[in-house]
Amino acid sequence: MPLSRDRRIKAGIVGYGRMGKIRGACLGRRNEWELIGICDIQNHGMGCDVPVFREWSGLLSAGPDAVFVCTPNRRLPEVVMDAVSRGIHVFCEKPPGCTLEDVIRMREAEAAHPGVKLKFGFNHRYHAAVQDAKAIVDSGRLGRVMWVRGIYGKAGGSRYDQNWRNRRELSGGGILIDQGIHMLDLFRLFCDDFEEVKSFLTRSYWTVEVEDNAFVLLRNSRGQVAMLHSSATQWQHRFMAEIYLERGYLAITGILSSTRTYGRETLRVARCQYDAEGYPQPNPEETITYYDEDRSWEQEIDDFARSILEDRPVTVGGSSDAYQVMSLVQQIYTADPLGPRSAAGELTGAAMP
Amino acid sequence: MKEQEIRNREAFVHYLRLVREDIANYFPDSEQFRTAPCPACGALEHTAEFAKAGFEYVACRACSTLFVNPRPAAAPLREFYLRSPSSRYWVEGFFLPVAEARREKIFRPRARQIAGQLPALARETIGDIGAGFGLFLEELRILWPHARMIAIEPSAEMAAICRSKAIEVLETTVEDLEGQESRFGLLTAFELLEHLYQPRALVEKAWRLLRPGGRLLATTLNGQGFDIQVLWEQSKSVFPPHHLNFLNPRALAGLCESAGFVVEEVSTPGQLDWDIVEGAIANDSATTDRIWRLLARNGSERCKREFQAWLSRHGLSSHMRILARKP
Amino acid sequence: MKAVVLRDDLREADIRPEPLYAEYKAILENESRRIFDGSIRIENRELLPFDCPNCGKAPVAEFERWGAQYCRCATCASLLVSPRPGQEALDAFRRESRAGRFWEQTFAAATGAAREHGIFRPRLQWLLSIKDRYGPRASVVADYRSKYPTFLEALCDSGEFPQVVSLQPEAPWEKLPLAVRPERRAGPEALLHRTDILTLFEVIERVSNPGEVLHLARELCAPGGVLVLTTTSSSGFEYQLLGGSAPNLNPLDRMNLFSIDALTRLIGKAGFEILELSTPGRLDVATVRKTLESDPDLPGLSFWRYFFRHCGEDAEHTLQEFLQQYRLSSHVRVVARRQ
Ligand SMILES: [Zn+2]
Ligand SMILES: [Zn+2]
Repeated sequence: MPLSRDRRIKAGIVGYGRMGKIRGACLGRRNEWELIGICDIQNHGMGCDVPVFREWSGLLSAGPDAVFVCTPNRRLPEVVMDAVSRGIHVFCEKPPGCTLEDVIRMREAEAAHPGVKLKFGFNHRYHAAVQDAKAIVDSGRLGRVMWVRGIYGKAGGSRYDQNWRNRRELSGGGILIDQGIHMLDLFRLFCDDFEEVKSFLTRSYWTVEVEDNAFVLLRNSRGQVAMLHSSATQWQHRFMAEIYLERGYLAITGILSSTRTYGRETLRVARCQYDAEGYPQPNPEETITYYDEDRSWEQEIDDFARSILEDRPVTVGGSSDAYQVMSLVQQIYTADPLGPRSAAGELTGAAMP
Repeated sequence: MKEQEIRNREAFVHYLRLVREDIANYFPDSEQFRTAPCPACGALEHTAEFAKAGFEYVACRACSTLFVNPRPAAAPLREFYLRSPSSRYWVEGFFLPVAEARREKIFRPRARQIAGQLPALARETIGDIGAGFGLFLEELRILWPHARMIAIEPSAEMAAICRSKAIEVLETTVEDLEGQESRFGLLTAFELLEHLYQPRALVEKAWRLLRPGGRLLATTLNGQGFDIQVLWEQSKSVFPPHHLNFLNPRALAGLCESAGFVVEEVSTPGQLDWDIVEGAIANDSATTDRIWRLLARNGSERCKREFQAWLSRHGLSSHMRILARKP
Repeated sequence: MKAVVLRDDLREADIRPEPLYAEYKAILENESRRIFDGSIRIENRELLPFDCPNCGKAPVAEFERWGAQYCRCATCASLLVSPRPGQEALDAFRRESRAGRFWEQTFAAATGAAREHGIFRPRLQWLLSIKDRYGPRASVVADYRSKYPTFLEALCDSGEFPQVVSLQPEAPWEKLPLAVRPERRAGPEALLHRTDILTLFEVIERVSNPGEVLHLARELCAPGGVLVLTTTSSSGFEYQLLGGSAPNLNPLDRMNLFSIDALTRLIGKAGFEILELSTPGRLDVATVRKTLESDPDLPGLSFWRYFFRHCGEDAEHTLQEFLQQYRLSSHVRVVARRQ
């Protein structure tokens, strides 16, 4: 239901952990939004100046126009479906649930309430380096994308082995569904969908029931290949996405995350230079762009506000994007049943302090 | 690492005042000073640069070493180091409060680096020339429990502190050390060469004390380093009568080679140059080229960090390190 | 905001070859001295004191160069010639200028290929990428006070922009030493609020009133239109180190050297949102090296003398890239959107 343009959007946040707080802070900086309440079972909301609900149904009954659902993965679908069925617009954190079935159920709810906007938090598409890269690829000046290659990894983190993100029933998987999913989403941004999926999943170090490393190969009907390494044993935090085209390449390294541990966000672009016979020469001249600020959170929320206020379809992070990327995740998990922890991992794991 | 962590600014300023008083007492008459050739290359030609606290600094025309000339003779210098109030304050008022910070920030990493770089020397006799409190040998002993650690330290007070830590001590200057030829696998001399009347004497003596294949590892000030060059006579490192010699990577390598060493590494791993210059601009209103004031005011932390790394990488930090092998 | 670094092989000797460049500079110096000491007769050649357009204050005298007094704004550190001739006098002078003719007829011809390769080609690529990113439907590109007609032709030949015009406020065209084809000529009034991409290549440093030009830029841009600007900055390495000894400091072409701070605020005040502010210059380190080598008596800078004598090409190269990365090169480029 479209809102009148002069009214602010009343928003609630379900799940006030790390992501909930990021979203809340961002709402506070935007004029279009008014936070009317939060829901958190662990009282993270203590000290907030808005009502704090223990049950999400309480928050949904308090009359929000939209909710941001920032709970652990397993809870996401039921909250989303409840909100959608009440005609409330929903912004749902990634991943969209634990399984592809979760996405299908959410999409059914969405289909039954056509006026409701449902958007998922694939935030990386809003990073300036990614947007610049997309504009360059779309211009066609460098030709067709041949292949893309991504590395996304972190060192796990404090108490990583005890984190709910590594309990399959709560999260649906390991580092791939938690972090690697962003890279899969970017692969789709540059190559659309993939039909063939190969993967190796390992538990190389952490004593967890899910993968701590995923090595993935994807191919689509146009012959474009994508290669992903998603890792929770990348001791030096790393984000790198390379896009190679017929007449040049792009490489995004570092990403301005909230922790700033992935390095300065940088886009390198080069156009092939050719020798006298027309063969490409190695190491062409590069243009390197450094980004100073991360406005991805604001842009993402602004986009969501525009969809609501102008009754426009969700174009980035809509439920079909969610469906496609979760379908990839599911295929990757199916392609390589996770084996036992590797012997080396057993040793280093035991040595962990 | 930040300058303030290893050098309390107030204590340092107080110390500098004591030094000025001691200069009047210990070196009252510059007529007694002796004219010396370049302490690095022995050349006689030099250019006057500036005077500070009554000491004239000149630059060697052959190797660019900056040095005090004429300079106090070796004997009064030794007297000054062993007995002056400023030397006492250096120990009690200045060094002791930051000793643990220095252990952590300087000596431990230094010991780790050496242990990692020269593992073959782990069971040899190691001598630290001018061992002071013995912090370095203590840290190295943890990593090399089978090495024999010897402090070479002329100050009775410091020697006692080293002994209290169960470190063997030769209570003398290395120049006066007799009868230990070809005994050592590794000799270290941290921040020492800049103080000496004759750095060459130390390097030549070290050569004799080392066994063939043994290593000399020394750190000293690089007169071509960033903060010294930018601040020049305003630099607190240019500090008579303590800092008499400012060699540079080429001059230091030349000195060691002429004593018979094969130089394996000369580097400038310093981390503090930028911090020192920025501090001098902010606290002492030092005059510098415009660009450094711009960087101090507008540069991001990352920018300053990268600049420091660039200085170190290209031999432009004022903290210099040499590793040389006796063939 | 973002900052761009360029890695390529631009060499100063290619675009400013000696002895031709020295000859050009000698003519320039002579003309500059005569305009500032009043011995060139043009109408309205009166020199007027000039306040910092960013801060509104009178700048403080710092050094003299070729007869012109360079002053520094105590607040924003911009370098400004004051007193200075008005725009009319400058335009009148340029039409007569012997240096201008030498540039057109001799110098530009001799360096054409190098400039094509080292400057115009990257500039064209840059404009195309701006179009891709910020104005995919851009149709009107206007180049204000064009200096290089060949670049305009290249822009047209790209086939990417339906309308490419040169905007010249100082008509009549016939009097200009500028070979712009008639169909590309326009006056500012024709394009008010119509320009999708407005380019000011090396303009704001050489106009008498840069604040006015930025104001006009806003009037020319269509809503959401993009301003593209290059200039020379006093915050850059070359000018920070060399000041009045900077070899390319020609008072008539570089009357305003804004600091990065000042430039950011001026463009903001004119009603633009800055999308990119970079200093992708590639020549600062080489220029300083050359200057120090040719002038051993230049005071200070002993750190840099040692650096150039001993540190080698890799260190110089990484320094230039560091300068680019942290907006410390003297050559500035800006992309901004009209708000
Ligand atoms: Zn010498
Ligand atoms: Zn100003």
